[in-house]
Amino acid sequence: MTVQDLPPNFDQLLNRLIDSQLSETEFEELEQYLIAHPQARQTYFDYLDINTGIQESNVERLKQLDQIVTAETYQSKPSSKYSDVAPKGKLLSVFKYVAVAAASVALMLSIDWYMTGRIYLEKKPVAATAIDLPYVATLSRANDCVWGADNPPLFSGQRLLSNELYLEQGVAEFRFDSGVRLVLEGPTRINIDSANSATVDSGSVVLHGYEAAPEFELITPQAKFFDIGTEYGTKVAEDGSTELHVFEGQVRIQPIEGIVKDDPNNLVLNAGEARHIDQKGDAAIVLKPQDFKHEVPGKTKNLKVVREELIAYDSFHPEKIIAPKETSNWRQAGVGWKNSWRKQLNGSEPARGLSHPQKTLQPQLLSPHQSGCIELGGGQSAWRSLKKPIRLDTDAIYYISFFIQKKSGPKTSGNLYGNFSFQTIDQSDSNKKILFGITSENYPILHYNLQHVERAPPLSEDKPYFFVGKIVASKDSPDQVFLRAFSGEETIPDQEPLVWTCTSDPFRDSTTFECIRLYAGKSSKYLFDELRIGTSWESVVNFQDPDDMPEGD
Amino acid sequence: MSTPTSLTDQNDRGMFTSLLNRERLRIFGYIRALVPHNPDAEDVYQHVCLTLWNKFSEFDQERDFFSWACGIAFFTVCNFRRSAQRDRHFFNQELIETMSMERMHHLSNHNIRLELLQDCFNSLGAADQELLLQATFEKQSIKEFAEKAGKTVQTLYNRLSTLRRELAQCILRKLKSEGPSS
Repeated sequence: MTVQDLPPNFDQLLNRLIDSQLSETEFEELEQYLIAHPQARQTYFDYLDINTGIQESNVERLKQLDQIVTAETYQSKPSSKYSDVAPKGKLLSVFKYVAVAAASVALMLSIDWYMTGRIYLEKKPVAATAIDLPYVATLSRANDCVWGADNPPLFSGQRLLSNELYLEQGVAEFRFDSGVRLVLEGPTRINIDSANSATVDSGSVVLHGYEAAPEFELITPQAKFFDIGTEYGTKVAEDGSTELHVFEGQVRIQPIEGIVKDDPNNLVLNAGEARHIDQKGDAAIVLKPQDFKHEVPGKTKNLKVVREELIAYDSFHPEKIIAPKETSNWRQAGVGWKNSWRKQLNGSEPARGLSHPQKTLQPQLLSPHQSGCIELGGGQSAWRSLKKPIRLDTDAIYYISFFIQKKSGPKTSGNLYGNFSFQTIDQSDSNKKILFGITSENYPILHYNLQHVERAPPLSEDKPYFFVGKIVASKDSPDQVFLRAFSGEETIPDQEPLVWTCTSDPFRDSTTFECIRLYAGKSSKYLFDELRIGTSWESVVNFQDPDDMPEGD
Repeated sequence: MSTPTSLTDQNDRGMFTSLLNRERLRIFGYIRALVPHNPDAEDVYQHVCLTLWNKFSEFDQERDFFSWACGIAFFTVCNFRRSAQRDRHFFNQELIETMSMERMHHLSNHNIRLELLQDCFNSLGAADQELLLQATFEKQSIKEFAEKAGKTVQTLYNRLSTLRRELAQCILRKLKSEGPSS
């Protein structure tokens, strides 16, 4: 068949493909032509090359894309076992951020020196610095776990560096930053090599592939396994012999020793197949999915524990409704606070803001003491001090949750933002805060010192959103902050979710945040409700009134 | 002071960057043929670059970098397809496998064909050159361009088909007369 013999509408289909205008039916038709006619495939290749060849910007575009690995500032490639992988498309922004942050700091120092004549560095050093990306995974779930070896994980939600871990007993789930999940059943020895690779020395592991992730490399003493959209289990005995059971998708096996062919596809095992591999060779065995823990067993946390993990809570419920009801006193409610809501950090004047004593942003009231929310607007602030501060100088994890709703109003050019923030008593550095909120353009925003992370799409006005923030604090390792914005239509998961709306770059900081602030921009009006600060996911997403939970001994 | 490790890393990076500079167009060309939607192909390309760098210590420098990269790209495309097939156009696995081998072969003389394309493209009239450039401008559909140009979409598609076919034939003619055959 020649080009002239191709079906008359083939060119038309190619045009529409390149123009991204193909319908489902047209795509199937094109696919059939490509399957049936070798000449159609050659023509397709030719057209693609013509298209990309005449785009002068094509090379620059590709350079931009591969800059994540070719840029000089990219951190060292791991020599072998211990490697770091940057999240997709992220590194470039990190470089930009560091460069901008450095330039900003330099500019601030210059201005400060010029204006005051003092040398800024004589002051207490700025604690926070953006750093490279050493974290590769999160201990997402753990059930009855006993850890051995050095530097064991301390709590669920902890971020993990490349590390050797020994799970003596229990079941744990690691979620790698590439999206892949590993479920371990003790006793298991594992090395977390990178966001995309782990080495199992012994034990039992189930891997859940992640659609968008590149191949995950699981190294065992006998072979390396590469997932192809997979769920599979592997058991590694003390003598190194290895079993591979493929539950879904395919797994490519690459022997550690032996002849590695040029073709990277040495052996592909399909769903429903299993193999035993040892030094003598490999042999098919019976698939036994029942021999593996596929997920960490769900376990509802004792309410007493949840209550203990709650650091502070405010329902904004006024004790008494007075006339007019908006003036009801909402400033003393809740637990875990040193004082009532104030207008200024160091003042004694009560915070302004209206009470809506019979309104709630929570989908369902679980207690009459939860009715009531507050409205701030016109540049109003409300400050309150925590009995137990948020410390970044120690190994800890904190969660914060609250409802927030932006009220629609006349459009102005700016000052339409509203937020919650952790603040320090020392206000000499206005950037020293961790902030979760909504921008003037309605984007959810996470703000840590000089980092601003905003995410599209914009949130709707006049609709309540449930914000959950997570702060990973570490004494010797970097800290990191996350924000997830839930809409009213979403179910709040019992366990920490896979996907966050905004994630900060890791940073090193040792600040202690003693107080919090609610704020609404000068031209805005915001409602806030049900504020919780705790040390576990459950403690801030359990909507029960803490007064109804059993107290600890 | 640089450590021996960092020097090795620098050497590795230098070697890797040099190989990627030489082959990035062909690697992307390979991926682009297997992934019908350009933004998806760019996404896959970025994943492939990351994987190539992370596995670079395993690369046998006696081997052809492009072939090695295509091996990794193939599996990355397969992974990507599994996630994309539900909501986007994606070729079936059998076609991907068939095209994978053919495309690698097709790209063996890609650099020569690229040079010849420039010659052929330059020989076109200004209006035809403009039409082709506009048609490949990613942020604009032919429909939008047709509206601006006051022509029908079908007219432009027909002309584009003719031009692409002429360019392909022009390259083939020049290959036969000037360069080694593919």
